[in-house]
Amino acid sequence: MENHFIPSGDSTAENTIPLDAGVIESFAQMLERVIPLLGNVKSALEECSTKIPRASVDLEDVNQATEYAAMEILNILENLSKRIEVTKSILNKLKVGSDYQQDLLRQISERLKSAGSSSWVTPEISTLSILLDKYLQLSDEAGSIAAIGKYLDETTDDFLKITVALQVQDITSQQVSTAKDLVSSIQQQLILILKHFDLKKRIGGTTGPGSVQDIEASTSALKAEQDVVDQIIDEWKRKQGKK
Amino acid sequence: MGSPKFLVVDDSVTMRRIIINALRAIGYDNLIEAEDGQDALQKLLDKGADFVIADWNMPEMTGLELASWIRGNGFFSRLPILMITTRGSKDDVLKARGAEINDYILKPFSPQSLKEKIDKILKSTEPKNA
Repeated sequence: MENHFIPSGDSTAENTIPLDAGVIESFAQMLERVIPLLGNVKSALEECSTKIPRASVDLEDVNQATEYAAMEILNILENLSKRIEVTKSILNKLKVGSDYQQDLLRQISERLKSAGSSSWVTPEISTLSILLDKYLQLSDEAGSIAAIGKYLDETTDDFLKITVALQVQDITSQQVSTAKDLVSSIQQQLILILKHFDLKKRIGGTTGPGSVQDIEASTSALKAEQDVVDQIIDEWKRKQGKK
Repeated sequence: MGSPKFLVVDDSVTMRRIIINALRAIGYDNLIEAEDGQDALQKLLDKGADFVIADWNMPEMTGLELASWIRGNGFFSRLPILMITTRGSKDDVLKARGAEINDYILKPFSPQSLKEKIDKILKSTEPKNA
């Protein structure tokens, strides 16, 4: 098998390292297989790095949207609660009026009954007395007002339950913020990895690290590097073909 | 003593409104609010308060930092502090206890559980008659 000599940096023959041609061939074949894979890795990293800033913005948008929705719901609930309070206040006044009215009618009824067969109690007055008693038995304004009040109290309780349930917005917002921090951290790590590919010096420009422009610059730098690698491989293949 | 004055501290407007609504529902209506620890300090100095309800995670000054400041301040050092937070790990609870807060309530809370915590704190901090 033919031996090749790789210079070790010194041009004198005694400082060269003998290498087997098979080893070089295997190494080159390995490179041929690995380089496209590295290209895939780089492409994936670049794609991730490009999408991450957008993901952070999207997460922030989610937070703002849910907070806006929660505020809107709170506004409506608070307005409804105020209206219920006003309604309850009106209902209380109605109850006071109704109680007074019922009391007056009862007094009239009692007076008519106590009059018994007095000369001024005409048959018409007796009929009116009977009708008044029936009205007092049938009417239940106080009961109706109390029932409405109870429904209003239950509705107020339900509003409070909805209000308290809106805590979910704050809880998810904090979780989303944590996820956002995590995404930023991943982005920083990816940038470090991309810099490891010796991209930093090729990126240039005035944009900050991690920006979309930064990533785009790194993408074109990687493509240039890929072109150089492809040229080397093609050259090697040509030489192999000539043998 | 009348209704205690509550200082509600949370950077989320939504949470402040929820806590204030819950406090009103359980019968407390003497309420002021602050959006972070720094704002709370200013409100305490300007308006005073009898009870602080604070979130943990806040910008500028966290709930823990606020609690430490209150405990280190001669005038406010005995002010009751209830922390409302999503942080429920043992370490977090220990940290909060380390900052000498009176009690700790996890989100989501109910008005009833809030009332129980407040009642417990007020009972434990009320001055004993000689």
